[in-house]
Amino acid sequence: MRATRVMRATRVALGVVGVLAGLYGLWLARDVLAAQVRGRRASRQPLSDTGIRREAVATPQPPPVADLVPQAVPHAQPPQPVAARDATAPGMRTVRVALGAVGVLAGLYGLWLVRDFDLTQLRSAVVWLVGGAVIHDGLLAPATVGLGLLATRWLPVAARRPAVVGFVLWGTLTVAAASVLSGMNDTPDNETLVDRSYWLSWSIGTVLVLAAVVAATLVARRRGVSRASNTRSD
Amino acid sequence: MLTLPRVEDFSDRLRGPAVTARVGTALGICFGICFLTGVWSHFQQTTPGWLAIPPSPYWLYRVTQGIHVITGTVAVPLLLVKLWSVYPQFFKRFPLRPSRTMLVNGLDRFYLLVLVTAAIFQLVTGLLNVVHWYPWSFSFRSTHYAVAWIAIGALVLHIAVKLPLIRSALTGPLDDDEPPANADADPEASGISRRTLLRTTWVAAALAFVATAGQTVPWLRSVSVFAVRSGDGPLGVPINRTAAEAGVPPDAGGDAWQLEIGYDGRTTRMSRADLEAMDQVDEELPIACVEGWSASGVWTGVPVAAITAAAGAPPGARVFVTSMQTRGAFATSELPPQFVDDRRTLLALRLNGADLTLDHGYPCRIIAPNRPGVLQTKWVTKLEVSA
Repeated sequence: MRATRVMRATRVALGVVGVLAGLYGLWLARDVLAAQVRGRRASRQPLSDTGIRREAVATPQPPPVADLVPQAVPHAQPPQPVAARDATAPGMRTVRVALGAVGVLAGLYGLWLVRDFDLTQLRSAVVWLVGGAVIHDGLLAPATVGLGLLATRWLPVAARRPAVVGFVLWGTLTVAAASVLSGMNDTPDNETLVDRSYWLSWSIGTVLVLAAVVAATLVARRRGVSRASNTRSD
Repeated sequence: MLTLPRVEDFSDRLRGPAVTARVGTALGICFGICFLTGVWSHFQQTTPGWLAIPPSPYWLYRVTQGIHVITGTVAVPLLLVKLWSVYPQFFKRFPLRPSRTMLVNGLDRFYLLVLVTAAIFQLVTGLLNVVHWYPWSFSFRSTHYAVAWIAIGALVLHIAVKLPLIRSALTGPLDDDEPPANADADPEASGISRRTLLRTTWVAAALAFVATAGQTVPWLRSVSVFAVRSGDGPLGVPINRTAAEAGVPPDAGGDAWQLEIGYDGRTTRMSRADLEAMDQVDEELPIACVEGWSASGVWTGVPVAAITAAAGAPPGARVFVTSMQTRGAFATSELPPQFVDDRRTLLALRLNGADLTLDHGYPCRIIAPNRPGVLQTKWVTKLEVSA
């Protein structure tokens, strides 16, 4: 019993050390790679402080570190030269390494906290962890994208702006209230817990949002939204 | 034939670092506050030896736990918009032939996966805990706590990785130099600017706040139409756990009931009449639960310090409280010396001017300042005093 506990502690400790060492190695590799990329770029295209922005816009060049990892940059966004300079500034690098180390340690501590979970608990936790992401990425997000496509195809131009705003607000109400709307709880005999008319409120909220969208659309149409959008920058 | 979309297929110019960084900053602040108040709540419930939590201010836990659930709820629309703004990256391909690029990309994907799954998990389990619904086989408290560390760790790592991008996006303009979307000319255009999208997101976050915060902010009760606990309940205070749930029989506080006080090997017994005969104190204190709801009441009873003194214990004693409840994780609790010595810590017999109902803990319950509701033990049967 005690031997297995010692064994487990040793394995966990070795695992933690291994992961940390590996991550440290990767941080080092990042710098080496960044230096390589910088060298390649410098030989191809001399950078000057004044010329960076125009060149970057004309021929999108990924910033040195940023191209090692997928960035939240859609293709339309030219890379930001500021980011490139910041990424290699010594102060910035120290902050990033320190933050990264703190983050990894906190995450490993979280993993350490589940060491006593039995298999049933772990399995259930993994199902719920993965399930949430699958439902979002595989269901909610594509549904939103699909609605967007339908909206651009079917909705009159004047209705688009109100529809987007209305959808965000309605979606917030629906998702944030999903738990009370479900009517589910493990203590149905407690009458003081979920004690409001949630579906009535949700229905009224939905009707209000719809009414607001229609009203805003009519106002936009009367004002002539197409002219407005043409001349907004004037 | 059905194929996965590519990043380039998402043409919406609303998406991009300008929006992502701004919504992400708000979301990061929410998650940060939620994490800190959550760790604090964990310490309140299972206090580590090196920490002595004071009984003052009496409203502290009510505020920290209210903020915990409010920031978590407000994070829902922020997380949805944030994930929407980076959704195309989900389809980004990277080389699968072994190389350092693949390794770095793979690790990057891995921590993002951890971040997204942990973030969604925390919000979903938190919101279900608010309505007491546990459709899973893990312990809510220990899992929510462990995944909180994983989520905040992945979030801090995320900030480290994206810091240069975040900085340039936040210092750069929100709407770029392109002319505003001309919906007539471009049928794909959404017709709204990034500024409008951001403002809508802030309004959505405010809406999530107003619609639920009334469970802990009294003046929002009437407008928080999606909040649990309207604030009503027997004697004007909601019930967290009923006697039936806790496995307390209906006749638990009958004539045979006596409070046992153990100190120094001796046992003193007191009936409810004995307790009523002692000097009674009125205290207005909140019940503040981990689910984020709270409600104030005027409690009437005997200071625990007076009971331990009657049993012969000196000040500075510690009291171990045992309940008659037979189900649930919190049948016992411990009052550290600083709580026992505080005269606001009561063995309450009455609430808002009437005898406690069974669901409120009849015949008597603990009510102390700045304590999570689960430690305000109801249906007390035994106090073990150790000096």
